[in-house]
Amino acid sequence: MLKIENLHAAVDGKPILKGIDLEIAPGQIHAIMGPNGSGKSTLAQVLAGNEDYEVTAGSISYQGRDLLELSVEDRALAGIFLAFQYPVEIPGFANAEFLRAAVNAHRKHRGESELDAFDFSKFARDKIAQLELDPKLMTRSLNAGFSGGEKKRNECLQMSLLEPTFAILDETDSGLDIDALQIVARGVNTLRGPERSFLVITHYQRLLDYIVPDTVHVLADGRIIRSGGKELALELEDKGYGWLAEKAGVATGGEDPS
Amino acid sequence: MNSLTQWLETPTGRESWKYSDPAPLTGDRFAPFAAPAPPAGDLPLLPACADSRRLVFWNETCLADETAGDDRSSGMTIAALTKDRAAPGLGTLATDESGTIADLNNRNRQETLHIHLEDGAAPDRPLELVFVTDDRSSDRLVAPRVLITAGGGSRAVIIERHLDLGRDPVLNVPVVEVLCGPGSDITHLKWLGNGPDALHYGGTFVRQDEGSRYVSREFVLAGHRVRREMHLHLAGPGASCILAGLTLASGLRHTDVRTRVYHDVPGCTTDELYKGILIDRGQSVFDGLIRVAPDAQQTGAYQTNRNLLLSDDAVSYSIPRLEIYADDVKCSHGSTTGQLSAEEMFYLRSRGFDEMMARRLLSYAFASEVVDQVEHPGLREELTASIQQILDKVPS
Ligand SMILES: Nc1ncnc2c1ncn2[C@@H]1O[C@H](COP(=O)(O)OP(=O)(O)OP(=O)(O)O)[C@@H](O)[C@H]1O
Ligand SMILES: [Mg+2]
Repeated sequence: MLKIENLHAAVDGKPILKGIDLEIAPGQIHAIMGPNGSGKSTLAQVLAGNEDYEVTAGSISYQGRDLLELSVEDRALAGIFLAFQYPVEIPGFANAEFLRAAVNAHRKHRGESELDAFDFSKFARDKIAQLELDPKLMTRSLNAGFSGGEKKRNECLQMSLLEPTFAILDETDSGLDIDALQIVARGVNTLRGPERSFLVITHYQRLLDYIVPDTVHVLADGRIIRSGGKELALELEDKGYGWLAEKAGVATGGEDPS
Repeated sequence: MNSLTQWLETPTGRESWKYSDPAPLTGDRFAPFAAPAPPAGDLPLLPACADSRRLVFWNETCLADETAGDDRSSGMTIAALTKDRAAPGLGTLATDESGTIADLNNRNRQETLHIHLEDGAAPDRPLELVFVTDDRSSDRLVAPRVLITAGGGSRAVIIERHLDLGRDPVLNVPVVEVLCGPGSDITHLKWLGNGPDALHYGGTFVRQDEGSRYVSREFVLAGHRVRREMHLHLAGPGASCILAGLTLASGLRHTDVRTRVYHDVPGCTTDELYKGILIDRGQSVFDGLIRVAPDAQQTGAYQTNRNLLLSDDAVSYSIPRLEIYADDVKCSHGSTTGQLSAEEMFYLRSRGFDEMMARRLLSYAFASEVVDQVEHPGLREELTASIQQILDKVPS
């Protein structure tokens, strides 16, 4: 599904990713953990195609294609979805209109007919209910003034509407209450299947109780310093990142995870 | 040398026209109509709100009021006053001293339309005033004049449209005076769809009595050179106003919005939001002043101007100003000018929108903050469609 080799990326000339190798097979869920500032979001943004991040070396292939050759929107239409750590607020753009337009952009790409407002609301109703999203949020401006948790649920709603082949969740669990955590996990697990893969970035082992990963990676200072099974997350919860970083000889910052 | 040319030489005159060209106002290219010029044949289909009472002014001639229908009992009376007939209030706000536009209108206006709302009147339909010019207006100076006197506790929605159908330039100098009686509530929606070569220099002059509310929403969507002035006095305690506007300037168009709001007494509020979208080599000016007099305690005054530049050659000048002489006030002002946010663009593109679509959607979103507030649903939809049509043509 996705193969990252020796990926280096920089922002404003400052190196952030310093040689990432990662391979995700169809149907797999990989988790990435790691200290603040280690480059997790940078990796997510590079995968989604954010041009602020410059890929200075390495390659990414997605379903056999050179991902780095594709524009942001072509990646999205090819089934890549990023649930943002910080979803963007767009005042004046009604959430329901945004969601419908996004679904229609994908339908059009697949050669399907576009949904009108009525058909869209039928299509979205169950998914909105499953995520227990307040229907009032549909008529408000996209993310504008949404609470932290509401924004994250709205990201999940987009994921379940767009049904991506490869979804990246960047700290989608941060800012969620316990109930919401389970709801979001249910959203992922509903989509989970032999043709879909996920990259889940999180600071909390707790999420991985609900979304059980195949592999857990630890990212520190722009490199994957350790990969293991789901028990690695438990070990990290217990011991923190320090011991691993020492072994790998990298700095971990030292801030608390947020 | 006439009084106008003299005034333009004064420091106030020069300051007032720093970013726009007053030349069309002073030259002798444009002459007023010598005789009425009603439409020659059938009226073309004019944009109109289905549910409104509508008055059409054709080349300054007021056509028969075919939609008057049954709201003669609504407490609203409409009269056309000939030039020599006075009405209480007429000319008290738009005086010869209050600047170029008023002066020019005072000298050139023919009839004055007087709309009077009796105390407590609340017509259930909006009143729509459609000012149209055609080919016979080419090189004409057209100076419509409206006086609105709103009695105590009255309420009404007034829609003002300007439309030029002719091929050649016309100079529009419309002036509307609004006297808001105690506790009245007037919503004034203005749509300028002037022709591509039209010159429009128009003004609204408002005085608000105690507890009144005045709402102005103004859309400048066309015209070659447009200047819109708003002069508003909050003269009675507890009066409030909302002043909003959206300007779209493409091609070589130049638009200039000037607002002057005077808080003379305590407890009044002003909420001002003007936005501009600049395309191609379009230019905009926003010059807004809110002055809070020493006695005007407990004033709330907010002024915001935001401009979106959709091309590297577009220019916008923004001069937001607050002059505050009272101490117990809540005031703020702000101005931003910039291009579409890269972060917002990336977010939309990551959801599958191509670059052009993302730009359009963000531009509509920018405009909708003003459009969505329009109180009349039919007009709101019409405006939305017009704005989308313009934005759809923006080159990327
Ligand atoms: N657009 C940017 N401009 C400047 N520096 C950036 C930018 N994006 C990331 N960085 C820097 O790159 C480093 C990695 O940031 P990144 O957001 O990828 O960390 P993270 O692992 O996601 O952290 P967190 O756990 O706090 O979300 C940080 O030092 C950050 O300040
Ligand atoms: Mg991050």
